[in-house]
Amino acid sequence: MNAADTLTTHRLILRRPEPADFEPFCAFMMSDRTRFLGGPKSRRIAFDRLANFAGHWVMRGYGRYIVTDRATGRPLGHAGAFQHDDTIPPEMAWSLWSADDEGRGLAREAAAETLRHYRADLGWPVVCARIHRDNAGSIAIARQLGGTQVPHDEGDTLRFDIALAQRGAA
Amino acid sequence: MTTVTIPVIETERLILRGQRAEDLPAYSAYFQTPRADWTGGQRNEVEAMRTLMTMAGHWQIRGYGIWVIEHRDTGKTAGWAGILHHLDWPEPELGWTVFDGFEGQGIAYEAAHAARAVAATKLGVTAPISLIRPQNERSAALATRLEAVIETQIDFHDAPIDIWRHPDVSEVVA
Repeated sequence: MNAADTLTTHRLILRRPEPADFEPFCAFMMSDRTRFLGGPKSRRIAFDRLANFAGHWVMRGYGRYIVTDRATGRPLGHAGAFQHDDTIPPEMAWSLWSADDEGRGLAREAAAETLRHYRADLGWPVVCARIHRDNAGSIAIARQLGGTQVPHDEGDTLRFDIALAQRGAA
Repeated sequence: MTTVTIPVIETERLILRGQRAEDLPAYSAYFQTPRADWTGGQRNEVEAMRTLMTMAGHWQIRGYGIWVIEHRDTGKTAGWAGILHHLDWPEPELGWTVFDGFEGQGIAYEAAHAARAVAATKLGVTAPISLIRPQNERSAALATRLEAVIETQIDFHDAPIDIWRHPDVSEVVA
């Protein structure tokens, strides 16, 4: 079953990527904000990455949503699951593209809504998040979303698994 | 967002179609051989999947892209052909790659010829270029067979590369 094309929260609308997302996404990718994600990256790589977001949706039927301001439609970031590596559970992403939008819980709100959808509508059992050990903000979100650290041998990257099975079930 | 539907092209021996997860083993095998040095470099299976998805997404962003070559008789994934326009490339490029086991049969020609025709007649990409390293003699031979000609040579990612220009086939009746 494919994921919903659109999800809505109190403050946000999450939707699939569009070509017009490129410039704000590129500004994020070329900024210091991607320092824990292997960045900053070039415009060329930013383009390929947005194409990867869109292609993932086509091939898997789910993927990273573009997080937009519900009131204005402005793209704020991206959140959702992706899977390039079949040996681990689907991985979560949650990023705000501008520092100006931090501090209001928007990344957590977006990620939590995708997890609700994966659990309640798609019946997924678990997702994971791979996070640089120095990325304290993202680690805090992983824990708030119910993530627990699991052993993971990959340099400076930590892995958190987020169980989605409902409490009390099996 | 309106999802771009990738047109399916059928030729005598091939089906050109969109990317599927089942194509990964063939792509991954190719990207772990030195031949991948001609097409952006070698990469592991996870990176090969990322590349396959990036090819799929190129269609969504540009409205045209790369097809997977499926070998009609065997159903096997035999390579790719189509139009790519990376952000740091001068123009849309017609590219092709045929995987091990499918070489020497004219499959790359058949696929590239068909992809070029559909790009010109249906997708608005006429007279694309092909970027080919001078040492890549097999691709240069195929470009010649496709009636492309070398237009100029540029410095690209720290090494010379020939820019081949394809004929405009938008008026040619298939």
